[in-house]
Amino acid sequence: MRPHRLVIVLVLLAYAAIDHRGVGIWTDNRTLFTRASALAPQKSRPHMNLVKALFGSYRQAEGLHEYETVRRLEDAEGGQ
Amino acid sequence: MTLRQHAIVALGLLGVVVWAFWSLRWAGFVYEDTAWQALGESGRQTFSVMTPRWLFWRSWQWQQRTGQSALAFHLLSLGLHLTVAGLAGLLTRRLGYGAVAVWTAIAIVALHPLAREGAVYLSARAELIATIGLLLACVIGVGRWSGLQVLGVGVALALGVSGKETAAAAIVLIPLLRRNWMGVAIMMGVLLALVLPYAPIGVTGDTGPLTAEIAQRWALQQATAGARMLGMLVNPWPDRSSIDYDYGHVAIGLQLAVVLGWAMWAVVAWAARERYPELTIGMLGILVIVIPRVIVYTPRSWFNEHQMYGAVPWFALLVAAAVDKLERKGLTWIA
Repeated sequence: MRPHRLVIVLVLLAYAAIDHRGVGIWTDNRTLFTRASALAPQKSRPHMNLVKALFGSYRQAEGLHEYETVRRLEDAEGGQ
Repeated sequence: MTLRQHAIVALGLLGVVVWAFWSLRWAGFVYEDTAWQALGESGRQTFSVMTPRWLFWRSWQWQQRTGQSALAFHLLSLGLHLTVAGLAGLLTRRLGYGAVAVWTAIAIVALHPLAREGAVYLSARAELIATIGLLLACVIGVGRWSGLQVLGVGVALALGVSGKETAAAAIVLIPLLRRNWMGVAIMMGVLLALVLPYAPIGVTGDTGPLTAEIAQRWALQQATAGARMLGMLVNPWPDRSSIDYDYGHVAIGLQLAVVLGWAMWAVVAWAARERYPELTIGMLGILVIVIPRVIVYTPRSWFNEHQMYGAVPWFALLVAAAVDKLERKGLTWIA
């Protein structure tokens, strides 16, 4: 196989591996917003969406805990 | 390549796509999908061809009437995504590239992680329809002009715009593919004239929850978001994709530097047009997709991955051009 073809195949397989893992994030709101909250820890909206997802999946205790984070972040955002 | 080789590559790629998107089997409706579901369930809402994005609405409503299966929704969106990949390959072929370059373009669009959100987020289906219309218009528009061709471009554009207004970018992309540089400059002006009324100038106070302060920095933050996704387009590893980024904490100096970076991108792309037109087509193709999103004000969200979906085929075209050059040079392991 020519070298550039091998590189293309390897890059495409890497894309596929990233997708294989990444598509799983989109299966439900809880998974989706857990990741979004982790990547934007100082922004209230993804945390608020996570709260909704947690309550939606009957995880009230976790939802309440997350809501405390939302309140703290909203206070900080309001004070900016 | 022989027919048998084409079949092997197609089957291999299909197998990899199925593996990559395997988790969709368990995927449900997420985030804003539920809003469309509620609208479909009401059954009262009807959409005429004059309704913005009517084809997107229609496809959603039609599918909801035929069943509530999330898997069916996902399969249709994935099918549309693969249609986009096929059209990118067809466009590559129309530009005169060889089989390896064509399959490279198809595979990049099908598998690129930046295209994933558009393919798996059901609410982003409008973007898929728009990109199908846009690429179809480009495929038809690159050949010799005739009455039938003009009609075909018009129908394809109408199809795309009925999915989402972003398909209007085809009016710049067609002269770009035809290497009609004066046409590119003129149609870019027309595109800007179309999108400028949607800029956040003087009308943002009552359009959504974003504050006036954010609206003032809209173009800067959108350009920053676009730059982040350009980085993901070129190198999607490690995977940092998310539905909701935090651009509010990006320093103003960095945002200004990003705008300067985009300006340099445009200058380099334009300067290369005579000597390396393939580079110009790829770079300006990406820019033409990005620019309207930097200007148009959407009160609820920043520029995000599914809105960058339309840029992936232009990146694929750029890589395909490079691959085609290498193929023609006949590079092997032994110099």
